[in-house]
Amino acid sequence: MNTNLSRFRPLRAVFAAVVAIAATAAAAAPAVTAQLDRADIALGDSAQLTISVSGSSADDISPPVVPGLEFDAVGQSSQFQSINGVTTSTTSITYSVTPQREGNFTIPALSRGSNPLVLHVQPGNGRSTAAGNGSGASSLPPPAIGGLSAGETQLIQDGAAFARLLLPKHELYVGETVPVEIQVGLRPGLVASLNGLPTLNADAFTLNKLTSQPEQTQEVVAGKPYTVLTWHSVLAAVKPGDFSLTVETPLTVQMRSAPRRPQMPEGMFGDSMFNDPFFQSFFGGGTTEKQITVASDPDALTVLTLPAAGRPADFSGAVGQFAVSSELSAARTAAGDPLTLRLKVTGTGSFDRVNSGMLGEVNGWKTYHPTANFAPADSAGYSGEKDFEQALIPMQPGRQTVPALAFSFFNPETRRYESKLTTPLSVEVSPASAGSLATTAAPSAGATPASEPPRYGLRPDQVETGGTVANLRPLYFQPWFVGAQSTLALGFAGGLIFLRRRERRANDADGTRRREASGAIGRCLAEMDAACAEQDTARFFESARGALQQKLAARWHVAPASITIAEIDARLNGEGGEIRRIFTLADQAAYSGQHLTTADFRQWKETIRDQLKDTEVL
Amino acid sequence: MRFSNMLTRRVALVAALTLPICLVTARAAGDVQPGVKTTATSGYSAAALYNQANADARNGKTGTAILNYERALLLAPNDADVAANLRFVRARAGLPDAPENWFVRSLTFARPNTLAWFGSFGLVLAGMSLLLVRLQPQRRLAFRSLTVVGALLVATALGSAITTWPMMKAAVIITGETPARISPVLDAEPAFKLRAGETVTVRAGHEGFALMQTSAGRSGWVARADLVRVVPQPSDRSPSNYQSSIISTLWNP
Repeated sequence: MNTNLSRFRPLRAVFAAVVAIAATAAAAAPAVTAQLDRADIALGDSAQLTISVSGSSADDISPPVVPGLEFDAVGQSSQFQSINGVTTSTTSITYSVTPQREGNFTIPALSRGSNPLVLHVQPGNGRSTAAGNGSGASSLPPPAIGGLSAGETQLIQDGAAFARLLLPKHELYVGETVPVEIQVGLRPGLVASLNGLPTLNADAFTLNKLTSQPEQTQEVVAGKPYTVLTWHSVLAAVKPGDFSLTVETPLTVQMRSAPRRPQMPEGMFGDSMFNDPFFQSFFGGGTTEKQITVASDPDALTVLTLPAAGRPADFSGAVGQFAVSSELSAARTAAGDPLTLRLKVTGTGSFDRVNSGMLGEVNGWKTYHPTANFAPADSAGYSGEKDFEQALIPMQPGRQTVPALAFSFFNPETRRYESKLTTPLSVEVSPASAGSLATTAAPSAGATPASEPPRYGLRPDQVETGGTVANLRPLYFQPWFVGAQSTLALGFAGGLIFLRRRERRANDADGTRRREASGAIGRCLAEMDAACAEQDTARFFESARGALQQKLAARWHVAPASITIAEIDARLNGEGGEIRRIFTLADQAAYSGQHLTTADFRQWKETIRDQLKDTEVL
Repeated sequence: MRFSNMLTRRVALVAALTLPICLVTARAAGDVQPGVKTTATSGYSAAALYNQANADARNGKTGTAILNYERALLLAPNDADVAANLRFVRARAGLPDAPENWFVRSLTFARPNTLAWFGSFGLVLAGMSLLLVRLQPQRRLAFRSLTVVGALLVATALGSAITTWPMMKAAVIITGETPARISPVLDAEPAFKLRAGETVTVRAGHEGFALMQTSAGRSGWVARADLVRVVPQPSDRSPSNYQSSIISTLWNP
C-alpha cells in the first residue's frame, strides 16, 4: 500500500501543480500596485512612478491621468516566480513623472484597496547649472557675446529633443562674422545617440568647425529636464539676400512599440504565458530605435551688400571692429641689415578677410612680402590678433622713417568704412658694415620680394560688388536663349529669302507678264462661268475672247487689246479657226442678241478651254 | 501713297526683327540682379562662390571648395584669384591641375554670358546688315563689313560654347575615398577610389548612381551623393545638402 501511495504521490503533486497553475492563470484577477520613489520634488525635477501588475501583460498597464503631471515611460521589467508550484508573473513599468507646475498632486489609486499617492512639488530654479564636461577641445574661452536670441523652442518626437540657434543679430553684412551658439537638447532615456554634428541648412553662410566635445548643461524646457549640448562657433555671411537659417542634427531616438507576438503553438498553459513581457522583450518587443533629424526653428536673416560709397582703396573685405599698431624689431641698425616690421590688428570680426600688403616699394628701403599669423583669443576665432611681419632692409644710413601703415575695414556697428593708421616709426641707420651687404640677399628663409605675388597660400576673400545670376548654366546652353537666337536667325533667313524672291521677280519681265496673264485668264474664266449660269451669251463670249486675248498676248509679248482677228490671221497664217470663230461670235452676240442653249454653253466652254490649252503650243 | 506703304513695311520688318531682342533683353533683366541694394534669396555670384570656396578650403572641405572654385571660374573665367586658389587647393590635396590649351585660354577673356550676349548682338548685326545690303545696295561695302564683324562675334560665342561644354557634364567628388564601382549597385566591386576634389565627367546615370570618367580616362559608377555637378541639373539636390556627412556617435546618455 505504501508502495502504491509512494508511486502515486508524484503524480498527485504534478496534478496539484497543474491545477494550481491553471487556476492562477485563468481565475486570478490582476493585482495592480503603484509606487513613487519620493514624495517631494522641486519643479524641474522628475520623480519615478512604478506600476506593477501581477498576472497580466504590459498592454494592460496605462499611466494615470493627473492634470499638471506628465508621465513618460522610461523602463519596463518582468518577474516570473514559481513558489511551491504556484507560478506568478509580474510586469512593472516605470514612468518618469514631471510636474508642470508647483503644488500638491494626487495620483489616484490604481486598484481597489490601494491608497492614492501624493506628490509635493516645490518651486524649482528653472535652468539648472550642472557643470558641463568641458568646453570643447580648445582651452580658450568661448567668444564673449551678449544679447543672443533664439526663436521659440520647437520640441520634436514627443519632446525627445530640440535644436536652437542663438544669434546676436538678424541683419548682417556680406563678410561679417558673428558669434553664435548652437544648442541641441536631448531628453535622457528617449535619445539614444547623437549621430552627427549640427549643420547649417543654408548655403549663404559658413560656420567654423564645431568641436566633437560640446559644452553640456542641464535645462528644463516645458517642464521637462534636458541635457543641452552647446557649441560656440562663428557664423559668416557669404552672399547678400534674405535667408531663413536653421541648424539640424541627426539623432537616434528610442520609441516604445507594441510588443511583437511570436507565433508560438498553444500548449497546456495556453497563450497567456507567451504574452508575458519577459518573453516579449526576449523576442525583441519593447522599444525600437528611430533615426530622426532635429532642426531648429527658422531664423530670418538679412545679409546686406557692403556699401560702395566711401569704400577705401585698400579695403580687403574685413568686417568688424579692429585696432592697429606697429613696431620695428630694432630702433638702431646698419644699412643692409634686415629689420622686421610688425603690424598688429586686434579686435573682433572676420579675421579671414583681414589682410595687409604692408609696405610696397619705399624709397630707401628694400621690402619683402609679408607673412601673416592669427592668434585667436576665443575658441571660435571671433576675436584675436592677426600679426603681419615684413622684412625690411634700410639701404641708406641716417635717420630713416618707416611710413605709417593703413588698414581699412567696414564697421557694421557704425555702418561705415573706417581706416586706421599706425604711427610712423623712426630708426637710426648706421653706415653698412662689410658683412651686412651679404644679408641683403635673403633676410629670412621665407621672405620673397614684395613685388612678387605670394606663391603659396589662399588669396584673400573678395569684396562682392557684382550682381548675381539665377542659373550657373551659361546663356548659350539655356533653352530660352537658344530658342530666341534661333527665332532671330530664322527671321533673318526668312527676310533674306523674301527679299531675294522679290528681286528675282522684279528682274523677270516674262515671268511677271505670264503671272499677270494667268491671273487675268482666271478672272475671265470665272466670269465666263458666271455668264453661263445666267445664260448671258454676250457676256459669255466676251469673257471667252478676253481669256484668249490674255493668253495670246502673253505668248506673243503684245498688249491684249492688240489681239484681233486680223492679228490672229497674220500670226497664225490661217490656222486657229476656232479662235477666230470665238472672236466672231463674241462680236455677233454683242450686237445680235443671240442666245445659246444650256448644251451649247457646255460645249462652248469645253471648246474654249481646249483652245486655251492649244495656244500653249502655238 | 506708295512711299507710305514702303515705310510701313520697313517699320514692320524692323519691329519683327527687334521683337525677339526686346524679349531676350527683358528676360535678361529678370535673370541678372544687381546686388547693390536689392537682396536676393537665391542666385550665384562669382565673388560669393569664391568666398564660400575659401571658407570651405580653410575648413578642410576640399571637395566643396574645388566645386565652388569651379563654379566661380565658370562665372568669372579670367579671375586670377579664383584660378590661383583653385590651383593651390588642388596642389595641397595632391590633385592634378586641369590642362588648358591655347584655344580655351583665348576664349576666357570674358564671362560666358557676356560672350553669349556678344554672339546675340553679332547675329542681329550680321542679319540686319545682310538685309540692308539687299535694300540699299549702294552701301554694300559698309554693310558687308558689319556682316563680317557680326559673324566674328557669333563665332566667338560659338567657340566659347564649345570650350564651356565639357563643364556642363563635369562634377566634383565631395566625399573622400569615394569608391568607383564596376556597376551601379551598392554591393558591386569597387574598381578604384576617388579623392575629394577630383573633377570628373558624368557620362550617364542610373537610379542613385552616375557613370563618370576621370581625366585619366578611368570609368566607374559613383553614388550620386558623393559627387556634385558643377552646373546643377534640375534633378539635382539643393546645394545646401552637401554640407557635411559626419556620421558618428558623439554622445551617448
